[in-house]
Amino acid sequence: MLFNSLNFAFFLPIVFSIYWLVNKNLRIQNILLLAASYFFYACWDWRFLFLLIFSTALDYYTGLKMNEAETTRQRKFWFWLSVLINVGFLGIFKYYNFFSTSFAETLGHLGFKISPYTLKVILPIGISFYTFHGLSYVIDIYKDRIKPEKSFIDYALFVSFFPLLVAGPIERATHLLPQIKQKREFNFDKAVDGLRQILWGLFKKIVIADQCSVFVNLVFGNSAHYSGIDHAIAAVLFAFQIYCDFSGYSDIALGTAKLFGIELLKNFSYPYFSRDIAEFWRRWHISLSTWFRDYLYIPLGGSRGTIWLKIRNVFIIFIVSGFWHGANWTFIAWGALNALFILPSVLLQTNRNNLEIVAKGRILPTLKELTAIIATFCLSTFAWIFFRCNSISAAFSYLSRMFSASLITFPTIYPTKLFIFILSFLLIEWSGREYPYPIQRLGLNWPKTFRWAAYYALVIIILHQAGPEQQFIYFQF
Amino acid sequence: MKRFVLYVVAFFLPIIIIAISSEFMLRSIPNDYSYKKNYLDKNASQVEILVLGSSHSYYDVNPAYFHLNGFNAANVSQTLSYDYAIFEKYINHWNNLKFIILPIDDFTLYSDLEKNLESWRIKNYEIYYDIHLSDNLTYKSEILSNKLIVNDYRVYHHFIKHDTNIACSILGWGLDDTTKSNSDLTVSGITAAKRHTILNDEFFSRNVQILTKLIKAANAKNIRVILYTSPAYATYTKYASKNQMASTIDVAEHFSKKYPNVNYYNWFNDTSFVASDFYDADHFNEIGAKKFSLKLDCLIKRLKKSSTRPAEPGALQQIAKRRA
Repeated sequence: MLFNSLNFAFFLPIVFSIYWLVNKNLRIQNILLLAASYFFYACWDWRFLFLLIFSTALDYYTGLKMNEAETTRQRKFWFWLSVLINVGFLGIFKYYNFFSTSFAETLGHLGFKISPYTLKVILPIGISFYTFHGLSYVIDIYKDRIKPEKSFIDYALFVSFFPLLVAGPIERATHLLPQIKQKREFNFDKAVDGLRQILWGLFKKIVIADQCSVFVNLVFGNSAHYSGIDHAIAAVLFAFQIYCDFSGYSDIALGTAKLFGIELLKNFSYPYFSRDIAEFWRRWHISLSTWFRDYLYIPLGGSRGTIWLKIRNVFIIFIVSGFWHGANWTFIAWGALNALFILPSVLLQTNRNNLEIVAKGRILPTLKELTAIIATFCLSTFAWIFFRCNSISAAFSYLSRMFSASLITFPTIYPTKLFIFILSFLLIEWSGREYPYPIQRLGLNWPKTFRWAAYYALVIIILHQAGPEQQFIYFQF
Repeated sequence: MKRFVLYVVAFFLPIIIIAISSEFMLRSIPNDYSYKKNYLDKNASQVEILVLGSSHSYYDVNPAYFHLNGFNAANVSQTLSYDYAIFEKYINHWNNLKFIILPIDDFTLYSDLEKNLESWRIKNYEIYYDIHLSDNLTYKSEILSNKLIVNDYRVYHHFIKHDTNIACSILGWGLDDTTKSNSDLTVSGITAAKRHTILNDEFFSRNVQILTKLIKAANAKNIRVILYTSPAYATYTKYASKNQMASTIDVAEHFSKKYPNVNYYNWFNDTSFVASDFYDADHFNEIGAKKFSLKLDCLIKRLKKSSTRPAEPGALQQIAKRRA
């Protein structure tokens, strides 16, 4: 069930209405949300619901057992059992075929021909996300940061809450579980805020991302037929496609959760206004970046230690992060490129120079800030080419075509209307960059008629200018 | 909560009212599908030659050139499941039907309307033909199946400019493309061949089953089925999938051997059709359609006189073996 589908348009009001009708009983509310979440998940493929329930039960049980353990040895046993099974499932479903074929290819290069055994399984949707939910929970218990949750319903809801189930944000037990356990009162302003955020997310997904996909698929799918400038335009459009697709999804997820009185972690914070790659990574897929920071980078030593340790840690975190996205060398290359881009600022300790949003309290950025924003955007767009291509060789061939003599020619693709939408989108983002999402405060001081007219205008644009329906890109991860 | 519900209802009510009005307006616009259904409702018992299939027969076969009463019930992207559904819908009305003409092209056995880019056309069968093969709610509605921009265009042209939305002749032959100036045969050949090359064959067995059902149902009513592979321009034949074509020809030849009421003709590389006959690389223009329809009419005359042939057992198993 896609967020931008008719089924979801029926599903959401039904669950919302029943949920607030039973708001005197928190337990029933949570059971309802869990049942709705499992139904939501089963709409993709009901067979994988059992995997989700098993993974949830495993982490719930090992969490309790770790707490009950009388010796460190027992505690370690339950911890590693959970980690190994969780990572094992992820490994089998997501990475087995990649390792198997890569191993066979390596042997092939050495002169040994073997035909790899591959599994014919589809990737269970959301597995990377709910596995990371579970892992953070058991790691936090193991490290004594939290106590295990006693209610299975509450824990299962933490893992499976439908707005975040298939593509995040990757929540933390410390943030979401207390909200699940707390009685929730209906709040008019919060609910309206949720609807506003959903509207903005739909605009980003349906108007910008889906329209960009048409040109991106055209050029990336038929690279040989297009000139260098077309390749450059398609790369830029892909940068907007992936941003609007994923942050649009996150906005819909956050807005939906708000309708149920729950605040989810922020996932994006205007990444394309970043002045360096370090800032970009603090603003892009925040829930994943902070997950890797807290559970991988800091345990490895973070930015402390010798230069070599710092370099090692930066590469590990970015390569693992790339690999998390998919079992392909392109994602690893994408991660490694980002590591290369961020490395100078880590070594020179300038990676925390830009913590505040750019030009805070001002209307326009300085020339230096603008140059830095454009340079950062160019670097991230360059790396996105590897992310989008199906293979490393395809990425290099894309780059060689892009940086050919035909880079300075007149483009054959010039989606004027889309450029206008992107420009308008950037202006709205810029004007609202100091808020969690750009239209949060837009028109709040206007007369209601004007404000509603603006909302209607957005609805009409969404309905009128919809691109071809595309699945959210991050569902494949 | 009450305030929120009131606000939401107040906000969405105009949108819902406009959406329902638009749905009624769009449904009131006559189109090919509603026209063809009305025609068959009234005249199915008079039809002697029924043309089914996709755009290849919709644009290529003009029943006006037949010596018998013909009707073209083909539509753009119509797949075998819908061909069979149309035939079955009027099964008790085909009192005079003698021939079914059905193209069997490189994509015919590999397509399913619900799973391709043209899936929005399903709403035409759901709403206008009263044929319900899909469970998807989207296809029960005009406004949900098409983009707003397309619907606006249709409403504007029908209600403001008073243009017709029916793109076929009285006998169902497709007029909109055949009467336009020709498109680039090289570009259209490559793109169409690429579009028709389907990378998996998940629908193959099901389509063979549907075709079998159609042939058997026709046989029970003593109706002859003419299967043919449409003529195409060299730029299309060059880039069309060789594997898909070979499997398709295998099946068609098998059917023509197995069932006495089936004849198959492969005109894929028919050199009697030249560049000036084509609107694009895989569709005829008005001239080509006339030439081709007259060719079909000659064939029908011959078949009327000819006798049937016995079936060859075991051929389907041979095809299955080859495919495996």
